Amino acid sequence: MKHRAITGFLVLVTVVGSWQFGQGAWIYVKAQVAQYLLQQAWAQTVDGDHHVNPWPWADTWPVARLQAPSHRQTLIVLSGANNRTLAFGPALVNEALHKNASGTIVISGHRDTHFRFLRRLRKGDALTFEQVGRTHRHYRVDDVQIIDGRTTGIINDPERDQLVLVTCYPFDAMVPGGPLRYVVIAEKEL
Amino acid sequence: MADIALELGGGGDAEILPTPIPDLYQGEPVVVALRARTLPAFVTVRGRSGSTAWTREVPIHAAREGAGLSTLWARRKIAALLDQRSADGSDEAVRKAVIEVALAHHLVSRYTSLVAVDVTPVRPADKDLNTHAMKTNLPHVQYYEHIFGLPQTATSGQVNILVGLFCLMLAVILFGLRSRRYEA
Repeated sequence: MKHRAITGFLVLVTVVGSWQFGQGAWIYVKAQVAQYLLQQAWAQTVDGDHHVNPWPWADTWPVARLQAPSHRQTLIVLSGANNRTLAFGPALVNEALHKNASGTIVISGHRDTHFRFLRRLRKGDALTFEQVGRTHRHYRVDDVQIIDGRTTGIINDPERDQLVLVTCYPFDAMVPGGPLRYVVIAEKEL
Repeated sequence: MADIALELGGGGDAEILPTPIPDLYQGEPVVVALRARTLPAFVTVRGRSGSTAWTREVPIHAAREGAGLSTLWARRKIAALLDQRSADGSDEAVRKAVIEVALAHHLVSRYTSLVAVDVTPVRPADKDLNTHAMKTNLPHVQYYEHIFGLPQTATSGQVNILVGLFCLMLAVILFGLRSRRYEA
């Protein structure tokens, strides 16, 4: 009887363990594979197509490319910053705003996949933001802030050309969903 | 059995409740609470079953002590007092008597209730309360990022992987234990 209980528990633990591990690994695999497919979709977008779906059932498309040369990061930025999209890549938060000539561009990304490199960004690091039909814009990291998302927003100053990268903070918190945000503010280089 | 009465052996004075003692029916025991300064050695129980009289002597000096007996008596006492009120309408005297009994035995009654006082306050009396914004549960079809501008940007990947690894390690340990038992 006791033996059977141990066997049952063994099976349960194995199943739950595999399932949890698979879930966790799938998040990282998805983030990597999606960026690979997005690079191709971005190439098509640059060639002149609009709203290229990176995979047939995708509900998002690449809108920009973000590069951090000093950290060897090239990320395709997606349209629509919601939880579905963020699994595949960082996304533009204020999509309506970026069509203006100037203003703040806010990009959000997952702290444990695409935007993990934000913790290594230092003041003075270069960032490049590319959009189709525009000259590449170059930014330099100016400030790093940790804000409480419940009480603080990101100020959009139309007079200043800023690139703001946002991710969750702290980076190594086990449980997702905290209120703190890690904000990297980069000023445009003239 | 009807007309049940208790007589204290060896005289003495005792308060017997309920009064009058109700009739005895099959399957329904009659419980009598008795309070006296000195317990008599035995009580004589008298009753009438049909037309035949019935008497039995019950020794009570050998009775064991019980924890809830005083409460039982007090409940009976309060009930009796309240019955008395409806009989002759002397409300104020009954109220006082009921409160006295109820307080002495920590009972909830028509005139008394229990109040719990927290004797271990969590916060020191001279400290202010902390205030901070609560996480908002949004109504259906409203999106966090549309209202607050900052999407949730953390995945449960790390937790999933750690929980998964823990479970799998547990499985390996269990498997080891199991095969060792097989050998033994």
